[in-house]
Formats: sequence, C-alpha cells, structure tokens
Amino acid sequence: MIQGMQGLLDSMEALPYSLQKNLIVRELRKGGQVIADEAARIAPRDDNDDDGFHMADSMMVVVSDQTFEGAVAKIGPSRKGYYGIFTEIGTIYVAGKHWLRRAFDSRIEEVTRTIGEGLGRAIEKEMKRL
Amino acid sequence: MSLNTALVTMKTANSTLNSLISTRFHPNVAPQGVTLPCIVYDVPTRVREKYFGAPVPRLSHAVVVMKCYAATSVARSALAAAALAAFATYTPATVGSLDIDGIEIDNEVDGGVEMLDTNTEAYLQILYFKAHVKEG
Repeated sequence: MIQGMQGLLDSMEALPYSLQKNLIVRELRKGGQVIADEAARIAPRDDNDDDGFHMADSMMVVVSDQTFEGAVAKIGPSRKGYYGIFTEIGTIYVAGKHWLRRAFDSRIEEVTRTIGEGLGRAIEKEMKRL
Repeated sequence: MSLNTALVTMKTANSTLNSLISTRFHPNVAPQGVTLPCIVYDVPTRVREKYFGAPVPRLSHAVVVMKCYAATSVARSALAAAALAAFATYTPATVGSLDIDGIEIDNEVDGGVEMLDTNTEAYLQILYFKAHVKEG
C-alpha cells in the first residue's frame, strides 16, 4: 500500500495533462519491469532448445490505455513465447507452474512502493521547473 | 487444516456445485480418463500479512485458481457460475482450524478448449479467487 497516494494524485493535478500521462507511463513501466524481471528469473527454461530462443528472456512490459488518471501495464513473454500460457496455467493433466502469478504476488508490494516513490520524486522535480 | 481441505469442505457444503461435480474436484491435475464436468484447483501463492513481532503471521491471502472443465460451452459457463456462487463470499466461516474471512473473485479467463485422452473436448473457464485466511 502507498501511504499518501491521494496527496500524490492531488499534487499531480497542478501539472499539465500531457506531463501527467508521461509520468504515469514512465513510472508504471519501471514498476512493471520489476515483475517482468522476476518472471524471467522463475519462468521455465529449456537449455536444450535448438533455436536458442528462451521464453524467459522475452519478458515485456507494454503500457497502454494511458490517460492522466492511469494506465494499464501488460507483462508477459513476447508473441514468440506464446507457449508460456501452457506452463503458466497448465492443462487438465499437467499442473500449472503459475510463474507469472508468483512473480506478480511476490513483487507487487515493491512495485507499488517503487511507483509511489518514483511519482513523488518526478512531481517534485516538475513542480520546481514550473 | 490446509486451505485445500477447506476448499473441499466448502465445495461439498454447496449442493448445486456438489451435484454438478460430486468428487471430481481435483488438486493440481485431474486423473487420466476423467469424467466431465470437473474442477482442477491450485493454490499457487499465499502472501502473509507481515507485521513486527510475528515470525509466522496468522493472516494471509491466498490465490486460488479453479479450472472449470465441461463438455460444452454452455455447461462450462454453468459450472463456473456454480463455483463462483459457492466460493465467492464475505460471510466469515471457520473450517477446521482455519478462519476464512472472505473469498473474492479476482479474475475470470476463458481458457478455450482442450482435447482429453478420452478423445473428447473439454471447454475451460478459469476463475482466480483471493481467499483471506486466518490460521487458528
């Protein structure tokens, strides 16, 4: 949980909309990268793969739907690593490894703190400039 | 009592869900040749509410993944709705030594269709619950 989040959002309102959007996207991407790095660390990896591609190495953070109020960060392997879904949720006869869920749950506290602190610093910096 | 056992107890206590799947409520994987409909469930993570002075905090929230398999798309939706009604509740309940303070739905995903070893199609709907648990 981020302490003082409402104060943070209120102070953001003093900034131009385009700047608010940019700050949110930048900090969300940084936060999402924490989960992506953890997912890359714990995702299954086949070192005997012939083509040299590892799904674990293709983790991405894509930020979309950005407004001055928020944005959406999508985290997961690239299209080439589509098969990650089968190890994530498993099948009826194969247990899911839930590596993405575990990465999210184990890092989400750190992510919310990182985003909160990052936004705080960025707002302070921009306010000084205005 | 583990959360897994508590989930089985909750399933059995709900007559609608229990009449649909009976004992076909499997942890992790289903047995070969499984009959549909069935639910395969997992508890992949359990995050404890940490506070100073409690090396093993009593409060935690666990993610429960329920994979609802049925022979048709309609039956899959009915099964997912029954599971949702059976488990999503804010009515606190004590099951064995566990206090379940509430279970909420976190996410719902269409899992598509899988082909079983019995050469039949299984339609899948995945439910992600968050269970708020207090150990006795």
